[in-house]
Amino acid sequence: MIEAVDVPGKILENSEIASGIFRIEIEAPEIAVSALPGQFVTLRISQHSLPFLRRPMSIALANPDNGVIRIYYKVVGIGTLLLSELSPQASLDIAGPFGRPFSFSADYTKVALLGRGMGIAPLIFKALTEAMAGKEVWAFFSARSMSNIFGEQELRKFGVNFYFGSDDASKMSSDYLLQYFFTIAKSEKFDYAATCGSKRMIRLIQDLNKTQGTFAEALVEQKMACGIGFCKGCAITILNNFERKTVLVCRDGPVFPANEVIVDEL
Amino acid sequence: MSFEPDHSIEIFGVKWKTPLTTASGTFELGDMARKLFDLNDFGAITLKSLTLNPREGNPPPRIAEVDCGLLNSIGLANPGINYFLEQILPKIKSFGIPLILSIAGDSIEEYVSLAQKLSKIEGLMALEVNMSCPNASKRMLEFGSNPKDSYFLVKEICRVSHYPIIAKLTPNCLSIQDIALAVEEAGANAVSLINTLIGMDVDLLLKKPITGLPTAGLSGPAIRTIALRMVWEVYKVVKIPIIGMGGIIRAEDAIKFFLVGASAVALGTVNFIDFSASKKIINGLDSYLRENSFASLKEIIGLAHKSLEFMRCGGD
Repeated sequence: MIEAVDVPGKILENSEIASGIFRIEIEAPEIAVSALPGQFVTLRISQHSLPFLRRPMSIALANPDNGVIRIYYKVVGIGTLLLSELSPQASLDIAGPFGRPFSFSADYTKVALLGRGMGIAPLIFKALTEAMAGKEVWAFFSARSMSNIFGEQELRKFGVNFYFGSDDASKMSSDYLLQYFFTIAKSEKFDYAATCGSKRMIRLIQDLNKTQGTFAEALVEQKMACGIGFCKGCAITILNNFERKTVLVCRDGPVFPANEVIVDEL
Repeated sequence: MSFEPDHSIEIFGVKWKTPLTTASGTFELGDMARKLFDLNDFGAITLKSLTLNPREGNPPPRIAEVDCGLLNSIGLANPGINYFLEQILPKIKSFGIPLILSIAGDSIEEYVSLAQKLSKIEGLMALEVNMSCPNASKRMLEFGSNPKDSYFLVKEICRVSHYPIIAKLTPNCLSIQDIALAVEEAGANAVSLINTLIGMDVDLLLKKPITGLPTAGLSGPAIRTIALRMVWEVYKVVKIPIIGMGGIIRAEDAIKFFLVGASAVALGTVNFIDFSASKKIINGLDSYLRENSFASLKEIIGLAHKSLEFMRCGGD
């Protein structure tokens, strides 16, 4: 069943939360009502041809009660630059939700989420959903700079065990965070782990899957033109039952079982 | 005074309720299409090219955004004709949309074999011969880039198919007029043009081509003026209808294609960007016809040529 719709969303907020990193909130009740963690929306930033393509963005929060979709984005090119210049109250063509979400099951109770850089965004949605379902949630987020880590306040508010590290930190470096995660994983025995934003983190949870049987999923990125399975542009190769298989990130993913992801080919 | 202009057309003896189709490879008929698009806006849906065997497609990255356009090196990824006929066609036929199926091959035998298989299927509108994919084999591109090969290819397909044959032409050739004349002579019932232009882009950071295959097909508004020029040229020499395409994203673009001689137009890359483009184009076309007092779309097809004849005749 496809729930996706294409609607004119209303921008409620579009603010820079750290250097070059923005949080945008868009009112789009038709999308917020069905969006799940791991799914994405696509934004048509301009009705003219600049940027030419829509921009796929991970959903960082969808609130069915007030109909608001939250997205975090980093200004990296002309598309995100023009997006950052849009003012509240402006209308923005938003379509979605698209893609295969993270799995959700009452069977697992201890959840580990590993995010790096902008890959933190979809994990915020996942963390809150799991926490609200009464799960024990641990978040391990890292970024190049401490100021680029977001979501701490709201995650802590919902009782998420929040750990972070950054490349520029003197105490908790990104490297140390992962070592720390591994130590915790040994004692805590997570039964579910998800990651986004780092090849190294995918390898870590692949390892966890092998050694502890943790159900592990990775959200992967690939350049997309359409986001709806038409253009066949976002293909990657995965390992499915030990056989190489070409799949589309937009439709078959963006979330895949971590052990199917061929990290070296991403 | 307000009236409803007639935007229906007739191509190879078949009535299209609107002059819009989809460019092969840019649309997939299924649940997503039904959810996001209004399929009633289209007179026909042209599907992605089918090959005899499944094709995984080219290595990633397969797409890159460029100024006013898109580079792609998909490489005809498709599940193969047998899977399509068994698993996909029965479902999409139930949608009741007129279908144009596109075929592609590495040899005349492969095309003929595909056309034969599809001739046994009932209820299709037409077959489109993709003799111009820049991302598959060199051989395929060669079919479409010289008149002799184009002629023999289309002739053999026409021999085995009872369906109308549309030859999809490539802009990557010396003279598109010669190719169009050759396929008309061979029995094609219509031509569609243009396929993508071969281009490339370079990743400055990695210092290598931006797509997995170094060269890729360019589509989008960047190629529109070239496509218009080619439809203009082909209209001058052939009698069969032209399905025009290349960078159409709004009504004005489509109208220009009709004025230079297209009987129908295909929406391609815009399907990735604007899911309601078809609606805007139909509405814009109707408004244009109304505002210029044309009762039907047929009256404006090729009209830009007539203005030129008038000038040559020394009219005032």
